[in-house]
Amino acid sequence: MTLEPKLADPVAVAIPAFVLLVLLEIAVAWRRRRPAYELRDTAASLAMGLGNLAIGLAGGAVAYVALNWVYQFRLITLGYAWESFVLILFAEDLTYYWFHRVSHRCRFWWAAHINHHSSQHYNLSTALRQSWTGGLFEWVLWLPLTLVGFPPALVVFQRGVSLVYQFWIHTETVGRLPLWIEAVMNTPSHHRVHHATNPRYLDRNYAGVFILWDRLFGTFVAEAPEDPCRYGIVKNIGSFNPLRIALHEWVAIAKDVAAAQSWRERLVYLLGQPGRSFDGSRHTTDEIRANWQARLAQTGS
Amino acid sequence: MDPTNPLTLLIPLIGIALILTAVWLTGAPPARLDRALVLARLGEDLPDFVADEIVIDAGQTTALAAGADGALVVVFAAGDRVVVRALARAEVRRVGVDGDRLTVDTDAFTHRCFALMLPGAASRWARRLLPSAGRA
Repeated sequence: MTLEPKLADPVAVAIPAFVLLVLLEIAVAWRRRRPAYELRDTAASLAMGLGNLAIGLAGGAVAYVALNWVYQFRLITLGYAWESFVLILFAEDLTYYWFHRVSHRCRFWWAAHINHHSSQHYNLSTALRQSWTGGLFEWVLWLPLTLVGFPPALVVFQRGVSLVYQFWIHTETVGRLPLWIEAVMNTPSHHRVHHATNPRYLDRNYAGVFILWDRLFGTFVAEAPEDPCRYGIVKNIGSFNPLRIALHEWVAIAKDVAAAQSWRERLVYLLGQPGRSFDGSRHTTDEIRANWQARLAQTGS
Repeated sequence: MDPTNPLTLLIPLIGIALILTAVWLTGAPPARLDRALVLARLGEDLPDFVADEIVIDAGQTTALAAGADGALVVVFAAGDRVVVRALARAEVRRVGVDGDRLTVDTDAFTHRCFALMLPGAASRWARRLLPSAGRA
């Protein structure tokens, strides 16, 4: 079966549902007398989402041209048969996993992604706190999919599907789901872990749709009831200004590179792990986790 | 997404207005710092930091903590949440005292400046910050 190549934009279609679900979550939180939203935080997240949409129109056009250019060198032609939709579901999700992992482990990529983690809240509006700078270059990691033979429109469509799926998992309103769902799918519980700054949870659960990739590549951690998630980033920004949210890590990189003593230091500040420093003033995830484990060993708990 | 379709812009804008109204009506109130909250957040975010002295702004929005080794930490409310930030000496640009009001300017890109009303303690904390910060 071949489908019409003109595929809808899943994000555009889902926007009314996003609004309704956010309103529903606000209502549930209010009914439970546990406010999940704060006005300036929500406004900042929505502004980031709008900015991402606007910048995405320009960045998306460049990406689409690049995807089409690479597509002419494709190894095979997969077309729009139903098998292609099944294959792209997994292939795109695997691509997303590695994109997401790189975005947390390489500071250049982290600078674009950090704003998604900058809220100290974890609610559906956090899902909309998207990057203003990532759309300019992140698409390069999706080029191999068109080189394999997936049509560019299908790749773009599946990226949208993945984004829409990931919206609903940004919530504390939903607890643990049935075991088989938690085993296979990325769920609110798994993604709460991803957004948490507790040492045990840092840089874990990179999944988009399927949590299988984290289980496969050793980055999965389950949410532990005895260690409630604390959200945000290791050094919280304390700002609701969208420009500062979008650019703060880029500015930090520029400052570090300007103050670096050698080209090696400059390179590490640009491409090394986030938190890497040569004066011990900051710590990487690995160092934070090691310190935490050492403290646990000392206290015996 | 068709940028030429007015609905493309209108639906998100109406949605944003509805959401912000709902949050304005039901959202969380601002955080108010007290000693227990400051200690709890210090313990979570800077577990190796042992506070020797803590001072909290009269408006309960900002606090300063000093460690026995001279390390300084600023703790401030950001909406209903609390931010803990180690205050590197090189970051402090200017410290000012006006009566009981202590103002600190830093070169941080976010939350660059903060002020605390510290009745009877502003000058003492300014002196604590001044040696590394340069006089205002």
